Amino acid sequence: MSHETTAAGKRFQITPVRLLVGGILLLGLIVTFLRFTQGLGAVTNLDHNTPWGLWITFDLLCGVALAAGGFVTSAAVYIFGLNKYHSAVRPAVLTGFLGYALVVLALTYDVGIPWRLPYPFLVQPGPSSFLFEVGLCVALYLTVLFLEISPAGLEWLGKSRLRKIVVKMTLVLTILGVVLSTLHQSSLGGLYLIVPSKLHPLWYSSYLPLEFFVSSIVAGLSMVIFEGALSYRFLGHKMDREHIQHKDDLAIGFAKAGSLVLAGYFFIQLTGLAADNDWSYLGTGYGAWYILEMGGFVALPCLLFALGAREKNVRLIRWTAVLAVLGIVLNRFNVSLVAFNWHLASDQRYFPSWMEFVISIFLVTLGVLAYTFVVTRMPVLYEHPEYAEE
Amino acid sequence: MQDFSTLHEFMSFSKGLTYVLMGVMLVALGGLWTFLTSRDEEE
Repeated sequence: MSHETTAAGKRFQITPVRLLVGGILLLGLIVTFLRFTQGLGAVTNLDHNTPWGLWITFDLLCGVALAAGGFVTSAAVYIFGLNKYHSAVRPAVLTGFLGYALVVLALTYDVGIPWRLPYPFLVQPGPSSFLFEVGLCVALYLTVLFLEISPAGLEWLGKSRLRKIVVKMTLVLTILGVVLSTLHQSSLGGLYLIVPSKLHPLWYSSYLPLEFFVSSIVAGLSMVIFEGALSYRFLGHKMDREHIQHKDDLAIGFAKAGSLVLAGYFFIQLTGLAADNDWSYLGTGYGAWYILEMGGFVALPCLLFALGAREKNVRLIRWTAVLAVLGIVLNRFNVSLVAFNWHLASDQRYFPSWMEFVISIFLVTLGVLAYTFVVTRMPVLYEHPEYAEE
Repeated sequence: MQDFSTLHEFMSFSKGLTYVLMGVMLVALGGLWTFLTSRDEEE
């Protein structure tokens, strides 16, 4: 079903995908209007037991972890000198920038009085709080990511002098990105250290900050592999020879790293269990769920990444990247929703309203649209001919 | 759940197991590294 209409002199085809995207945007705008005119109570199922719901779990915790590809890739290239992955830096940094921008946008939905979002910096700083550190790091890192991706925009706009200044700052920005990411990725886990009585012992551990940081590296590596595959499939015509030539090497190299980091993450989780002597919980229903998370979404992708990298099976690596991403998403859902308030009766437990789902899907759609808008216009998946020699 | 009469007993057990796990991890990560890189070296 597609009929044609004209817009700004160009033929614009209405396809089922565009209709779906249009429907999501329209519904998202309606719920946004309700949220900002009627308040949180009108659109969410949040209550005093669960003041942080789907928007924090998915839009913030998952969003921040999955946007880690930016610092992982730029650190690999500019700090560890793995120049063969250079073509992956811009797409990864762009995904990181859009991811963090959407995290901040999502926070305006979730903070009761959204225009007070800058209060921790301007009015009431709480420098001893993990949340203050997360807020500060996210704000600074968003600025760093903007500067890191700005050469693409400046090349597109033809501002070569300004671009030259920003490019000279690349190493400093990369180091800043790594420092800020280390701080806030771990602090997001640190936020849950104050709820030992609310979070199930299998997920609660004094190693939570370390677990969040290490798993964010897995998320970053896997997202770069996954996103690279999607870009090649849907935007392959925008890629230059270097991108296409190196895409398989990138997947194999990142799969090796992913396998090692996942193995480390698995042992950190085991260490948490051993240090708190939580073994007996493994025989319960929550234990089965934990074993599924650790076995199916940590140990399995670790082995599959290793097999894929050894056999140079890029197809296996790409599917494993999806599994690993799902594993990180599952972990964030478990820590902040499923295993949170586990003592409460089921009728008192939180389940998101349909409007919360709409906003989360709306924000992801905005991210995909923004990514497509940028990569179809700016030199992200290809080198700008004027600067190809650099 | 295993019974512990004193904090010392608990710490000895949990820390002891953690140290054993650390040893296993060192060996396992070494093995994984060999598995990942051995074919590259052959090539």
